[in-house]
Amino acid sequence: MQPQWISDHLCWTGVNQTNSHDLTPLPYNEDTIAYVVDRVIQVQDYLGQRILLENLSSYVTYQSSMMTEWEFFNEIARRADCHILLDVNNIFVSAHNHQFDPIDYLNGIDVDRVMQFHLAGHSYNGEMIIDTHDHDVCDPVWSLYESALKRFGAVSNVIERDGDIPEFRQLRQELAIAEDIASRTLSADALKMNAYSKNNEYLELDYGRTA
Amino acid sequence: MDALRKLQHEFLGYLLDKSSVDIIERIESTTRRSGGQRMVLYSNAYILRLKEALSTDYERLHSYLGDELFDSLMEHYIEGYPSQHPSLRYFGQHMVEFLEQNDPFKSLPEVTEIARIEQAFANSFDAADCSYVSLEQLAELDHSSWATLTLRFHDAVQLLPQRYNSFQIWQALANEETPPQKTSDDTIWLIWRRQDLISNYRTLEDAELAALTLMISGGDFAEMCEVLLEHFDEQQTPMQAVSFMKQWIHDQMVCELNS
Repeated sequence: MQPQWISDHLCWTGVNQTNSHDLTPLPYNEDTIAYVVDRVIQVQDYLGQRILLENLSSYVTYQSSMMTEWEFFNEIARRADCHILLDVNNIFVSAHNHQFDPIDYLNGIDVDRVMQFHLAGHSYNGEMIIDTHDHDVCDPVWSLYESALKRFGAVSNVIERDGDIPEFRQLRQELAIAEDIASRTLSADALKMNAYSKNNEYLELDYGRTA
Repeated sequence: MDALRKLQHEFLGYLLDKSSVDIIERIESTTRRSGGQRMVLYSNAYILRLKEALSTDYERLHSYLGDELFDSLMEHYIEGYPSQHPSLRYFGQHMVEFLEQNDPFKSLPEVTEIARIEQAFANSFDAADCSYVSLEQLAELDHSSWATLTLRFHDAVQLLPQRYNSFQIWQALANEETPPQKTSDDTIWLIWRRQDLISNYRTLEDAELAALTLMISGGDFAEMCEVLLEHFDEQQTPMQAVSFMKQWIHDQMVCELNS
């Protein structure tokens, strides 16, 4: 099997063989960057291709974090020379929970590393937002998607839905919204081809660190 | 990365036991929520996620016990068996052991049997696909190779000994009917999955049980005939052995003929 892309979340899930079955954030500091970069390089060397790292929704910030999430994320991608899967809904959720501007997040990510977007719905728990994947994509997330298209171009997109899955017709309507936003936001030429995905193919063939 | 490891231990420690509060000092508090309130979101999600996994795997057990008792069971199970496998599919795998060892369930043997049935169906559903042997392949076998013929069964094939009428209770719960009263009922059930991905089940009589148990454990046709001599006369035995094999192959339980 030769998948075009292999992705995983930039997070941790358990320790000492005990699993939280959750995606929990890392502290954003130099030590963690070095730790993660080493491991991403190991994985890419084994696979012989670049992987995509995906941002998650989070509800806590550690006191040991010394930088923003996007600085941390982007620095790991640069040093490990990996790609980025940008979950637009997760940016929105974390921006709300940690009170930062989601546009700052988008602007902090290198344009040429983003290979895929994810969109999803979420739920409110009091004044916090929980990433539940069981609602339609909401208007502020569509608006952030539009901003992401403007910055990153015609990047491929997945709408995620894990619960309360409606009839296919309704799901198809969400895709139509995404298509409509892309056609309003991007030029016809840009829509014809996902330039970065094409580039990805070349990069994968070219990827070859010596063991 | 001692600092990261320490943080992870403290974080997970809090999920497993909310009295382990060291992690909370490491979390930023904001006007929106304190560090402690933020960690509660993770610990609540942890419990909810594991309860959802157990409720999905043990739907009939849940119906049989009712919401309150099943919820208490889940809470104790989650506390006693932190998830050791990266897949939630295996989180509930110690349920039978838990029920056998803990009150009030250990004095309710049919409860354990219902859990065993649900596990067996999950295992049957999950078993990797195989290409089933056909009756034509059996017919093509050279006569000289029959004595040493062995069968490889599909991983979905399972024998389920029951001491009570738990299967009838399970069937009633599956059909959303009132389950019968618990009664003693020594029966061996066979569970397997056909190519259409539907799990099947039926009871086994003594002779077929003896033959199948032997063949699953790697016995050959000659040994099966010896076992069946305890149930049939010399003339009937070989025919009966062939008849059982044909039934298993017809039912799509057999993946390989070896001789």
